[in-house]
Amino acid sequence: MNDVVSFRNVGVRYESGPEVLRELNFSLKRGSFHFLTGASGAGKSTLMRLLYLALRQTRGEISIFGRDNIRIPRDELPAIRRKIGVVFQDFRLINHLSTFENVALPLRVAGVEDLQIRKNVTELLEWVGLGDQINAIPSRLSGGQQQRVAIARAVISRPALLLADEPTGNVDDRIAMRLLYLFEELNKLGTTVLIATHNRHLIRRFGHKHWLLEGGTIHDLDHRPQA
Amino acid sequence: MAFRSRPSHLPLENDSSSRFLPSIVALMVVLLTFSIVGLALLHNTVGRWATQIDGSLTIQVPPTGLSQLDPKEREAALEDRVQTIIAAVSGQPGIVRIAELSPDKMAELLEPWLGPNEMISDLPIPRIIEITPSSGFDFSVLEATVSKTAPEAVLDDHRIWLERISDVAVSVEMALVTLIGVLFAATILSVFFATRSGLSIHKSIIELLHLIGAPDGYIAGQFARHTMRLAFFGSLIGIAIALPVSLLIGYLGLRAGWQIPATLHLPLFLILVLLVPVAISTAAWLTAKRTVLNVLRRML
Repeated sequence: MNDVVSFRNVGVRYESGPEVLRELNFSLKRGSFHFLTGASGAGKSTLMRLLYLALRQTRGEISIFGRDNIRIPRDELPAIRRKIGVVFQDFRLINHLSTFENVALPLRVAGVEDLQIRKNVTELLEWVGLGDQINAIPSRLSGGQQQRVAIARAVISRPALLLADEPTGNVDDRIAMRLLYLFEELNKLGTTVLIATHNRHLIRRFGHKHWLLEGGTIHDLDHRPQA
Repeated sequence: MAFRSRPSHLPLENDSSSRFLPSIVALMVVLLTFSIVGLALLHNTVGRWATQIDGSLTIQVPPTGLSQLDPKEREAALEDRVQTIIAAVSGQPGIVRIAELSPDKMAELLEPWLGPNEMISDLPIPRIIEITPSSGFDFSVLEATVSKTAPEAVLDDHRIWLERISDVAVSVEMALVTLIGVLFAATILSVFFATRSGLSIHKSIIELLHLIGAPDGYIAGQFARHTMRLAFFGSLIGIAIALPVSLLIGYLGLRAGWQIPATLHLPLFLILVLLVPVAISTAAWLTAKRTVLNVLRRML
């Protein structure tokens, strides 16, 4: 099985409202790198929620790591979620925990040993330029710094699938490039990456596959006739 | 580089439950301890009454018609009546023991009300015969025998009122057991609502932990350990209040001549009381864990 994620005729509606996503048919191949764009309200966050198993489709089939998402037993979900790294648009940092502990969270949850956690987290925080903020709490950090903490937390466990919702929205171009290089490094190590972004400069600069979410469904811009 | 010790992922220490739960638990433990001590005292008393019920028949032999005699002659006549009754009754089946309450014993019992021995011996006081019946004893046969032998004698069956008092005491005992159950249930309910409140307050962090792959037991464990600590702390406060008061009551009771039951003798009593915080905190741990697991199970 080469597909990390596969959607077939997937649709989502909230309660009795209209479908916000419909006829989603796509797959993410192992080690692929995609950018996802779309206007505000196009359903990017809903799609992300489907991918990180926080939401179930109202119709169609979703396969994730070769498993039908509806049929995964509840006690197996944590192990599958640990294979997915998520950068949330609103960061979702835990305010009473230090930068170090926020980043260490996925490793703690996975039961990794303290020594290993210290080594990996310190190294990564240095890499994202937060080596001097290791004991700072999120409220003391700028928006860009918080975003980097959120990214570090998403990638610390070297996930098989990385989902990022506007990961460069609050950082300058230099940091944005650096973060994208980090995602590329992970991608080269086998991580499948899907990044929702509005930053067309980055999309052009890195030249990965580009999907557009429009009208509740996905369009592959690499295979769409140019206007 | 300085690393802080590993903190809890949920800031439960800042919740309002962290303030009110120990107070509630402390109050419950005080009431529980008093109820347990009260129950032990009552249970012991009821037990003693129950044994007394079996040996509680007396025949009162008054000096009727002997008032014109001088004290010595009166006592001799009374003694004669007593011996006649004992002789008549002794043969009845079902009597384990029959004996007269000696004049000295009577004087000793009456001394607090009637003064010293010398005065009592001058008074026309009835004699008392104590009977210890076995089970299946026929009271009506005894009544007929006494009536025939000494019509002026009065037969008292204390079993009737002892049984009634014992019934009341058993009802109070049951009420106390119910009260202990209610107090325990109220403590568990407090833990339940404190946990539910904590779940609402920390919903976003719980969702995050959930999404990064924390198993339900991991999240529930954090709540359970925190709740157990609060309940244990509250229990210790409760014990610190209830224990000295119970010991003081016991001490005053001993001075007043109470019979303190064996279950309340140190150090058994201390062990029993110290088991309360262990029981409460274990129950709190279990309740918090079950509550969180039930809520998480409803999440995707």
